[in-house]
Amino acid sequence: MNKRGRGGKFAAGVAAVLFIGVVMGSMLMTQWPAGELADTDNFQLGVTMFNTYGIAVLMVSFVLFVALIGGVFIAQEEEEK
Amino acid sequence: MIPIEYFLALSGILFVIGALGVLTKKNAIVVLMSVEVMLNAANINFVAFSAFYGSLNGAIFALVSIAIAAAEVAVGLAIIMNLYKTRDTISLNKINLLRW
Repeated sequence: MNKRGRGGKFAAGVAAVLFIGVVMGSMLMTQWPAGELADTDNFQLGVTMFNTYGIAVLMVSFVLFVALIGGVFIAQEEEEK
Repeated sequence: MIPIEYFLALSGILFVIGALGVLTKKNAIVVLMSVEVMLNAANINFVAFSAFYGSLNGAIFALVSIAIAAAEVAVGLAIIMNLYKTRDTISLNKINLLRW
């Protein structure tokens, strides 16, 4: 952005307008199937989460644990010697 | 009743705001926040389709996606902290470590 400055920002703005135009156009032209906005059954949500997708939740917990350790490892203060 | 197009439009607008932030901002933390905005735009899509069509799979996937986003932002913030300690800047113009 140093060399490109305002030209780069202008190009990004044009690209953003084009992108939102394409997204909105395709979304409004699509015939979505009829659906009803319904309240989520929280009990059923828990059952689905831990019964059907229990393995996925376990794997996500592992990923979170590794990210925790990695974040602490990267951000730790080095000891002065 | 709110039609599903409103949710999708909100999601698209949020995604474009995030993409603009990633493309134009120089501060690494602002870029990280913009990435989060883009991820949450996708989450809005998941939850909207899940709530409209009576399937809970989308809501579960949104929860998993939120957890992965938390992991990502933890590592990203740690990297930015490390960059600030070693190079005294988080300006993405001055960091050329991984640039080709």
